[in-house]
Amino acid sequence: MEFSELVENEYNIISQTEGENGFRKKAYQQFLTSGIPTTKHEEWKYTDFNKVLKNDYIINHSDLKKEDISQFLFPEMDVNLIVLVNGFVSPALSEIKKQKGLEIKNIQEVEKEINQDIVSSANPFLFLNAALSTNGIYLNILDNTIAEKPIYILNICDKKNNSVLAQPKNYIKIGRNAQVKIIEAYYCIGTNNSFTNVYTEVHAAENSVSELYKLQIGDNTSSLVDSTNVYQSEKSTFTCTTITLNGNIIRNNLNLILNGEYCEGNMNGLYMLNGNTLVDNHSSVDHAVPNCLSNELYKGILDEKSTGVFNGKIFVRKDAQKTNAYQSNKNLLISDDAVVNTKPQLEIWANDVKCSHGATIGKLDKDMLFYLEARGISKKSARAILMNAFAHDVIDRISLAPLKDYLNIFILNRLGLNFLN
Amino acid sequence: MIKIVNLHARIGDKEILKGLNLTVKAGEVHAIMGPNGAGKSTLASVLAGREDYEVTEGSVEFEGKDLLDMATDVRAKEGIFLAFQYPVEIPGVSTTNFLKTAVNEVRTHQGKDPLDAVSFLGTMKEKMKIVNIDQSLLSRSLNEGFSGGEKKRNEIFQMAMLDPKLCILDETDSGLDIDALRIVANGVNTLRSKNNAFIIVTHYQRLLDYIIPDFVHVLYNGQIVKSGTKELALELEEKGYDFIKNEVNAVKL
Repeated sequence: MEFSELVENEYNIISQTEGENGFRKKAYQQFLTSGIPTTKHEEWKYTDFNKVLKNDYIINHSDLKKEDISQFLFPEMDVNLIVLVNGFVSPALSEIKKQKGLEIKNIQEVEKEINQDIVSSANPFLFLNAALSTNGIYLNILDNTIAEKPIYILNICDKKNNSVLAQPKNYIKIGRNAQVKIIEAYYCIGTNNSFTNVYTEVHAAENSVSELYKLQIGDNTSSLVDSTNVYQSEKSTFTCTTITLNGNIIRNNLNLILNGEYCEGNMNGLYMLNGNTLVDNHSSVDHAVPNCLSNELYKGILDEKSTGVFNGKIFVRKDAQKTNAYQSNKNLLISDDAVVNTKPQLEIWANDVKCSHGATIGKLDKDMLFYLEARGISKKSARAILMNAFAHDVIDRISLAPLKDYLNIFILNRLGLNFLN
Repeated sequence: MIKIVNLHARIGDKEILKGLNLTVKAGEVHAIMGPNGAGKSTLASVLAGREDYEVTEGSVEFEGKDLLDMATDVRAKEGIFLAFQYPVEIPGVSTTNFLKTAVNEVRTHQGKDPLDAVSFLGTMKEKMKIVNIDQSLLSRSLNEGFSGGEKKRNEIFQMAMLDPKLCILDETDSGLDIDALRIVANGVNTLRSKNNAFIIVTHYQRLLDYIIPDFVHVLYNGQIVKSGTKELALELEEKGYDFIKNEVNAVKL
């Protein structure tokens, strides 16, 4: 089935079961107008999903067992676990412990109450998600609530029997003075293709403190578009950390909208790629009001024939005086075939601001390699040690120790190092 | 232990070593002195295997094997240790982790069992005393933000951990105050034995007050032009390098 046909069929089925839904209809029409962007589109210059979408996808439920997903859990971390398989919430696999002030639901139950902002985004994949998504997580951390356990949203594509299209949608509301840490992970099982198109909207109220971790560890037949819009109110602190370690084509759209004064928005990223993986990190931070701080650090290690794309936009509006905005993108090219395209894009209309940006693309440092080799460390290990060190400062910013350990071990294993035992 | 014969080396188009000869036996300490630009650090780098230098002529035999034929890490595994003049800072790598990798790669090469975490830590504790280095320093990123003295102490500490046969100290005294110099020299003296040897590259005589050499060589214009005992170092200190230059140039005329 052609992708457009699949979308049309799916839209018709949903419309019939759910009845009239203006929001969905509008999104569908917008998607029909925009289509899937090609590389002629400036924002999609290096990243073409058209070939990925040629596969024969099906939108279907799958019954995974607990033992199928145990490999994706963190045994040392007590979490509120929500599992989505092929984009659908699986109550059987999820484990939610009740806490006062914490609401976790399938977004289906509350869809009428929320009004997601997708129109202004001009992102065709958001239109597609809004047209076809029926499931996902609604997370509400009420005012003055501190979520006791991290929330772990585990997304799995089960592509054992067929290629899978998944379109979850998450809505996260963080109340005043509330605090929460959320992990979103994307894994897959099976050798067919998968395409996940997820949209997450975060509203961080006054004085809230929140951390969102994205863990993207697919395989060479799984593709992902992960769009996240974050709306921050006064004095809120929000940190997003995106770690991409595997996949076919991955596009992240992370947008922070700083709507209240004295906000802090942090964006950290690590992409460590090999094979033919392409990862495109598009981020933007919109300083709409004065006295906010944004801080962005993305680091990439690109080996074999992998490709990295970084586009970081910083907008500082006319009224947003006393803005501090920092951006840094550093890349390490390990092989001669790896490619990176990096583009900082700052648009500043205010005059009393502190903004900095830097983008670097380099190879492993010769002096450092010599130093390690002169101590008896083989060239291969020396290179691995330096790659691990390069990734270190992003991993170090992770506040959840079990997650940090997991990533450290994952990276050391990939590099064939064994410091830890 | 090491026999250097007619060694020529260059970097780019510039020939720096122009026929250097030197033989060092086990148990000996040789000091190499000389004016700036004579080729002292080049000699140290060439022996350790820095790829920037090209050896164009000559041979180096280390414990009966052809040293120039070995990769950098193999030289270290065979027992060569270079204490750097400017130890490299490597953010994100702790001395402990990096040394554990190094020690175990070296041990494996020498046919010994790798050290487990407990015995590694035990060895570390013992060797730390030699240069009076603090554990907290070693769990930090390698040399990052270390003072000059801390960096050099870390070099000697690594030397102690790796237990090499031939230690080459490249201007280890540069940038050290007198206290740090004493600690470093004391470390070296503790590690001296009849089984290992030292090549100490230095510009000044000062370090040789603390590490007494068996032989002193003067390197000038890519060759060893004068050899003697520790008194030669004192003579150089007194007269400066000009007297050597004059002597050499006089012979040429």
